[in-house]
Amino acid sequence: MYAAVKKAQAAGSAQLQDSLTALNYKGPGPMAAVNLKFVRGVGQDAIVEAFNDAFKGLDADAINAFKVATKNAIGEKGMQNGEEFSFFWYADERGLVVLKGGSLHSVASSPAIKAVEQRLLGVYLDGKTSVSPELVKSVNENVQSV
Amino acid sequence: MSTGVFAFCEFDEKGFQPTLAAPDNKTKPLVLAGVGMRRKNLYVMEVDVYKVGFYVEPSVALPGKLIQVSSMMQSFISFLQIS
Repeated sequence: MYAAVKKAQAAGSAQLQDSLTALNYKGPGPMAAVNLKFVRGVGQDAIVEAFNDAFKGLDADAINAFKVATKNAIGEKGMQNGEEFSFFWYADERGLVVLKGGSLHSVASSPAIKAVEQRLLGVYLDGKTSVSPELVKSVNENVQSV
Repeated sequence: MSTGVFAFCEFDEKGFQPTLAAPDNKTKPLVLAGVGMRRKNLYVMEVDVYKVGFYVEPSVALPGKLIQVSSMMQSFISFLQIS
């Protein structure tokens, strides 16, 4: 990742999510994950609908598959203060995995799902549109300092 | 301090574990690469919604670099112990 990030920075287009997906990782485990720890209650619908803007223009069935998996993992009560869930990005046919406690739901890989996965990664790591610029800064600093 | 690829990067982990187990628990745990907060404007004030931790598979992160940094840090630690 270091070399890929450096290369992207040199080209003036440092996008961490592009660097990660460009690696063409083939390992058996997940390539990356985000863990979300909620500090206030948020409803199930509010969480999945929050991705609408990020997924604009993508395949509707793929978006729906992502939403169904995420809703099932989160549960009808949504996220309460202190609860957490994670997204795992796989390189193989497992595609994307959503995990909350013991509730695991996956979205089988396909070209359409890969596009959703890429946008989802951008939700967190895109330098311009991340929901947490603080996260992008933190990752960049840690990568660069090694 | 974290263990793993980013072991020598001092940063506030904001309560995240330095590693995250893969869902099947059969592969290497992912290592914490960065943390942040998702904030949202609610009426006239900004509120915290969730903390977010980003993890990567160790071999994806920095192939070859860990050894390099480890040996450099080890040399530095040895130097401090001798001095």
